[in-house]
Amino acid sequence: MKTSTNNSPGTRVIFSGKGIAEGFLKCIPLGIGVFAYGIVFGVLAVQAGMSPLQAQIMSLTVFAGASQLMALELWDDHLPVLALTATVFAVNLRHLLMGAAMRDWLVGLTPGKTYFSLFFLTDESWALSVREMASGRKDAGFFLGSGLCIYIFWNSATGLGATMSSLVDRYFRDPSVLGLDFAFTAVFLSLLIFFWKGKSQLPVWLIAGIVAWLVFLVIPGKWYIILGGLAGGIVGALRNA
Amino acid sequence: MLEDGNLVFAASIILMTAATYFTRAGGLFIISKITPTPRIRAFLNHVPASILVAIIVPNLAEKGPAEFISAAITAAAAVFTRNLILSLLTGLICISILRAFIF
Repeated sequence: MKTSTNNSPGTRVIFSGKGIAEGFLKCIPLGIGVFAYGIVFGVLAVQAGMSPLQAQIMSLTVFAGASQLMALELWDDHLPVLALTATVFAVNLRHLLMGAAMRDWLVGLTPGKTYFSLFFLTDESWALSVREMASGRKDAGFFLGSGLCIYIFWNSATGLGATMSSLVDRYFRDPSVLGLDFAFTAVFLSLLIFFWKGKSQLPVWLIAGIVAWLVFLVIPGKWYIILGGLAGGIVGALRNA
Repeated sequence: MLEDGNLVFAASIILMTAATYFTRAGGLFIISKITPTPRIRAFLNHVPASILVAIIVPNLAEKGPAEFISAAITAAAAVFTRNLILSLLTGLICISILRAFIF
């Protein structure tokens, strides 16, 4: 039991400054996409009645793009505190599954490094990191670095959008200008291609896609991500075990 | 009145932060407490690509021909270059051209 901290065979997982820097740099293209949505959030937050300071505090602490935009829908003079919390929680449930999938990198680290890094988990940095992990990188610093990159882009964009909301609103409120709304699809699709190992994965991907699409049509919110991911994982487990 | 508002704002922020952090840290916490069987391992190995599929499919399904074509070309670029930035740029250039001139 004493030696079982590192569960994956092969080299031990490390957590280096070099890894952090590489994760940060590799994530910059995704950070730019996040920046576009951060500006939109900043603008909309002020229009919903938040002060620029409040919008910034929210981005620094809650730090969850889709959840924050949904919270704006509920923003009011009398804040519905519980509804806000429940909404944010439901929208972010997918991160439970994403965090669990980081097992090979994070389980062997000290709790401080693990649980500090997890604060910065986002869809974008996770997708990039989990791909690096699958391709054999053994430096979990990459996960923190990519998360920090998204954090900085999201927060500087929030500040810009909120403080210059009226100005920014006039010129930039739609990420589909420059095709930035397509950027995330392009990134996730490319990372998915890099996951391709052979035809044996097809049933897993097919079920994940079908379930996700059906859930998307029936249940509002982000449930399609977690249920599609679960469905694919279960099919994979049944076939491989 | 203003102080009340600030208090409610602070409470909202604290609860929302707790909710998001719980989802970020909770999955790993649970999985770190159990010794994975081969079946759990296989499950976790298939979750990442499945989540990517689950993000992509509904987002593309509600879009039009400009996005479909751009997605196909992006995927082809990813296959041939094996480079994230190159395939991302290919996709962005493609979608910009298609939206500006064709669809």
